[in-house]
Amino acid sequence: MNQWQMVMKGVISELLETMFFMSVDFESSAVAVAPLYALESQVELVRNMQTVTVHLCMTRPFALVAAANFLGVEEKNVAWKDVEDVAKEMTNMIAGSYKLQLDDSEWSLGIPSIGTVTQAAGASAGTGLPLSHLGEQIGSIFLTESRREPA
Amino acid sequence: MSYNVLLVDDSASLRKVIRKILRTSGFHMNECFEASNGREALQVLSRHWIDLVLTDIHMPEMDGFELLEAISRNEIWRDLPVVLVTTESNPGRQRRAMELGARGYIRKPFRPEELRSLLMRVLGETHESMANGDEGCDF
Repeated sequence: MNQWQMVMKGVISELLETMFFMSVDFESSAVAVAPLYALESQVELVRNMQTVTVHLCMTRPFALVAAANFLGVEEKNVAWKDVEDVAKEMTNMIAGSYKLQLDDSEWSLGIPSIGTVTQAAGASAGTGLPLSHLGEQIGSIFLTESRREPA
Repeated sequence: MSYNVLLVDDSASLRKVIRKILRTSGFHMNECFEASNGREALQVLSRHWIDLVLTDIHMPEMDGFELLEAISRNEIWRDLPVVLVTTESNPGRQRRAMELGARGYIRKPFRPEELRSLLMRVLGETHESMANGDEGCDF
């Protein structure tokens, strides 16, 4: 497991326990079938010419339960726009807490957005951090990095 | 005393969560107003009496720092308690927020009791200073 994945495990565990009243596992070995993600939320961390984008992919059931728990309502009463909004806020808090573990003064956090779902996200160990529950993969976190060339 | 509270965050879901925390934690809230950025917040402030502002920092159009600056420049609002509820953890930015007049700071994620405790402390300090006549003559 990479260093960022170790850090991210702690960040996600704390966040889900504190504000979503749920827990997940980070094991991918038990996953037999790649999940079908329903949404992907992302936010950028920027330092000078470097941009690291934090992506959070979620299956529909996971996204619904997370939104319902966060808002303190039943799943049937959660509109999809609320699910997307909660996913963005979850990504925002994950990236903010992750930034805290980096050299915090150098990084700026962007504004989260809903992106195009990457179905293969986190499928290969090492590039993503799988989120699972009872042996079923329900989500994934992965980072992408880009560098802007100086003008 | 019951407070009129203004929640400023571009996340509607987080505004709902904070509103629910305030309603269920014994906090004495009268009316709760909402805004999705600093510009909307200033509109609410110009139309309603607000006792406490809770604001995020990272928001589109007008962020929390710009909102703090606008509040601190206004003679009527400059003593209004503003508390930051944000993912921002950079000490330099926290210091900047305090210099701009923020009374408190809580980092997301937070537990409901942490928010309530912070608000009571902030409002307690405010009441104390008002009781001592420290509010000046800006009104």
